[in-house]
Formats: sequence, C-alpha cells, structure tokens
Amino acid sequence: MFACKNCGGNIIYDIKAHKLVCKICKSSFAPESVTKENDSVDYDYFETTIFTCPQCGAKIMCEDNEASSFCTYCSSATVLTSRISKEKKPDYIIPFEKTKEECIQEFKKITKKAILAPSELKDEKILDKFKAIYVPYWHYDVTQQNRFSVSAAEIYSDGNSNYTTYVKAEGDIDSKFEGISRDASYNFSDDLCERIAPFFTSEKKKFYPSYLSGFYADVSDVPSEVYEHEALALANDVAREMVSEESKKDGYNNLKIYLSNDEATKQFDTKAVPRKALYPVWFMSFKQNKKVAYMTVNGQTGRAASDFPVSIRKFLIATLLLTLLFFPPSLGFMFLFYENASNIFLDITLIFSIAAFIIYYVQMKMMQIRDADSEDAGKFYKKYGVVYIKNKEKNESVKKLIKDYIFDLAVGLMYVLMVICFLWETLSILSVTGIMDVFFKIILTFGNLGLAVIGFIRGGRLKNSSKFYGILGGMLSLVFVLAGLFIAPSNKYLCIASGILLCLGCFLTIMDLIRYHNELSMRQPPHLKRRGGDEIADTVNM
Amino acid sequence: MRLPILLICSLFISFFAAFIACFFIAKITSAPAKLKKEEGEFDLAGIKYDCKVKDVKIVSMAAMAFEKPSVTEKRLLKEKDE
Repeated sequence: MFACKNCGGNIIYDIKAHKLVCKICKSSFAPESVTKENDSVDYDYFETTIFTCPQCGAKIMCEDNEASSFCTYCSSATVLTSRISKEKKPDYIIPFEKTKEECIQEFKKITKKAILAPSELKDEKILDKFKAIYVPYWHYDVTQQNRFSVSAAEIYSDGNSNYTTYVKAEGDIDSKFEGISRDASYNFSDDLCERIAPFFTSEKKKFYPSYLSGFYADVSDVPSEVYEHEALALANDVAREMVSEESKKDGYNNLKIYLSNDEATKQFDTKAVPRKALYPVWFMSFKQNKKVAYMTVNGQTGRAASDFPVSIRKFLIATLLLTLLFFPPSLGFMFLFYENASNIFLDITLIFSIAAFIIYYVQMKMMQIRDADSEDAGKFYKKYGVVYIKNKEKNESVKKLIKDYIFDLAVGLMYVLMVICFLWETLSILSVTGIMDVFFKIILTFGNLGLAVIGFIRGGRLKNSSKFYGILGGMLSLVFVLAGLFIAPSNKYLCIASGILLCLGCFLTIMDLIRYHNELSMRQPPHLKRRGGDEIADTVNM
Repeated sequence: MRLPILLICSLFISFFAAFIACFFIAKITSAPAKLKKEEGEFDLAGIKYDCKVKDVKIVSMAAMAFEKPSVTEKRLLKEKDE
C-alpha cells in the first residue's frame, strides 16, 4: 500500500487525473514522487505483494488487499495467500487511459453481435468484474545500421512477355524501431493480445511502482528470446520494402528482394534490445464448467476482444424458433408431394445430411488450425523449450488450401449431388424411374456414410476433439437408413423413421461442432497446465 | 392419415434446416473479429520507427528470363494502358 504524505491514507492511481489520489483527503501526487521506503534503496527491484490462488495456482501482483478474496484468472471466490516479494522492475509502463465504465461500454459493443453468447456476459453485475491488470510485455528496440548487398529481381512486362531481371542491390541502411511489442505472459494467448493491439508505445512512462497502486499486475514468465526473431523479422520486412522503394529512383519499379530473415538480419545488421514493460488491459474471466473464457479490453485504446462461447440453451431456443419459422413453408412444400411425402421426406433429409457432414468436415479442419498450440509462441516455448518460428507461408498456404479447395470441393460436391437428387426425384415423380430411385438413395446414403467416416477420422485426429462422439449418432442413423433401404425401400413408415433418425443423428453431429467451439473458446485456468499451477496450488493448500 | 405424416415430415425438415441455420448464426456471431491486417502486410501500428535506406545502386545483372503473360494479365495491362 502507498501511504498519503498528508494523512497516511491509501493512495491509488486515478486514471482520469493521471495521478495518485488519496481516498481520504483527496490529495494528489505525481507517480514518480511516491515511493515506498525500500524502493528508494534498490533501483532494480521493488517490493510488492504476490497473491497466489489456492484453486488454480495463479500468481498476481497487487498492492491492494482487495485481491485476497477473488482470483482474477479462474474466477474463484477464495482466500488468496499472499507474500511480500522483491520483483525486478520493468523498464516502462503504459498507464491506463480507459476507465472501467469506458471499458464496459467498449465491451458491450462487441457483445451486441454475439447473440448466442451466454446472457451472463451482458449482465451489468458480471461486467462489473472487469479488473485492471498490467500485462507484462517485451518491448523490443531494434536497430539496423550497415552497408548491405542483396539479391533482387525486377519483374516487368511489355504486354506480350513478362521479363525477370536478376540483380544485386547495394546500399546503406540506418533505421530504428521503438516498441515492437509481444506479450511476456503465458496467461494471454498471442491471438488475444494481437486482437487488442496496438499499444501506442510513444505514451510509455518510466516505471515507478506507485503506478501499480490500485491495479493488478501479472508476473512476467516468457523469456525475451521467444519473440526476438519476430521483432527482427518485422524490422527486416520493413527494410526490404524500403530498399525496393528506394530503387524506384533508379527506374526499378517492381524490385523484389530475395532474402531470408536470417540473411536479412546479417545484411542489415539487425539487432534487438528487449526491455520489460507493463501494458494496461481490462480483463475478466467467465467461468463455466471448470473452464474460463477471457474478455479483454485494451486499457489504452479501448479495443475489445473476447472468445465467446455459445450458450447451448440459447442455441436450442433459437433452433426451436427457427423451426417454427420454417414450418409453414416446409408444410407448403410437402403438400406439393402429397402422394409421395414419405419418400420425399427421406430424400430431403438425405440432402440435408450431406450438408451437415460437409459442414462437420470443413469446420473441424478450420478449428484444427485454431486449436494448434504451436501458433502461440509462448505456449510452444513452455511446452518444448525451443523458440517457435512461425512459418507464415506454410500457415497461409494451409488456410488457402482449406479455403480455396476443400470448401469449394465440398460445396461443389453438394451442389452436384443436389442436382442429381432433384433430377432423379423429378423422374421418380413422373414415374419414369422406379427401382432406380431406391438405388440412387442407397448410393447417396453410402456417399454420406463415407463423408461421416472421413469426418469422424479427421475429427478424431484433432487435439481435444477426439472426445466428441456426436457424429457417431449421425453414422448410426445412416446405417439404419441403409438397412431400411435394403429391407423395405417402399415402406413409408420406415422412410419416415429413417428421415427422423437422420435428422436427430445430424443434430448430434452439429452439436459436436458447437461443443468443440466452446472447448476452444473456454480454456482451463492457465496456470494449471502452463506454469505448474497444480503443484503451486497443492503447496498452498498444504 | 396423410395429414399427420405431412405434419411430422414438415416439422422435422424445418428442424433440420433450423439447426443448420443456427449453427451458422452461432459461428458468425461468436467468431473473433478478423484482424484488419491483410495477408503479407506488416503491422506497424503503435511502433515508432525511422527507416532510412540510401545510395541504393543496382550493381550487377545476373540473368534474365521471360514468360508469356496470362490472359488476365494481358487484359489488366490493356485496361491500364487505356
């Protein structure tokens, strides 16, 4: 606690005033003028209270005793144990600019869109749980100063032919980058940090412990080398672009620089100096079934980002409402096939099931990318102890492949099958085909079963997703349909039962996707897995 | 007897269409907002930088290759000229 020089009361940092204000006598002080007794002795370290949650093992710095009753990370109402600790001082801090009210307003803007998110996330009482946390970041200052010689190619066209001229470009570079920032906490995923970025580092201040008064601060636990190559890569990308721009003066309008990141670092003599910094984030965790979802708002700019789980209750209600909405046109459509309703019903459910299994397959692939732990460099380092160098090109090409080919192929296939189905159906209604109608359904069901099996195998391969067995319901319903088609293809009651089973099986399949989405949106409290939190929590509980 | 069959069939078709539609609604509304950063573009927002490159000289010509432009490229070039 920081004491007021006038009355001895608790002084905390006031976001609007940019000063420390006494709760009792309302005196205000500049943060750099307030120090604790021990802080003035030790320049590199400062004394603070570290609170540890006995439930999840999370560690957090706070000057206020309010922190002792609630864990910000796992949302547990519990008594946190505390100890006085000496922590290394960060170099910089960006003070909070956005108040809690402003943060809640910004957050409400993004929750408006999430109509199927749990209602609690729109509840004022829950939103009041937003806590101001200083998140540790690595703030890299990068310099480049050298005479370089790089390979390049100029591509141009005269209308009839494309020409590529390979050249060597030489020149001088002198550049400085201040504040290439990456999070230094395992608690925050790179993805979430990227979504609330940027932080404007020109607003940074020299760190004084008094800035933390009234706020929480996470403990830095990711080494600087984890993100150093990203800082170098960014500077190298800019340098390459600048070389290309500069060469326009010599008439080279489209010069591409061929240089790997390592070569560029050597040629431009790119050097990064990491500095510790604390950046402001409004943070809230939402707990459901022993898992938490994180809601974050940039404390400097107000940019909000969150992982929204889907409320199963809302999903079911929305489904029922849409069922009521779709019912009249469906009934009208079925009346068109009054004589042959059971057969048509089975055909339509078969078509819908194709759509359901294609959606399952494509979505599982999409979620696989999101689920890949390796996309978070901090987590990867914690897990394997080596720096993960993101292969942007590889990731992009995988995404492109999925986006361009698999999805197009799947949708294309669906359309082809639908057209064939309708053609056969028309022929069937016109009594042109008889047995072929059943034959076609069998082929369609087999195809569907193939899609379901591929989807299940692919789904099973994915991390976290192997426990979702809803698609098995879909597969079983297809087996039932197939058996029915072989045993009594013209039995209308069997057709109806097959269609209903298919519908329910596909519902279970789609529910798998919703649950998997929730699995990815909600995570285990971070420290349990990533920071040996189980052991920490056990030690605290002993 | 046909009317109850029609009602049941219509109900399940509506239900089938409804949960597929709901899935897409859930995906669209709950998906994280896309980053504004375009593919291949580097994000310098919030970073203070000063990158100076000078005296760039093209010192050697190693090789030259050519290929025919595609129909699209030809069309684009034609449009550009016009």
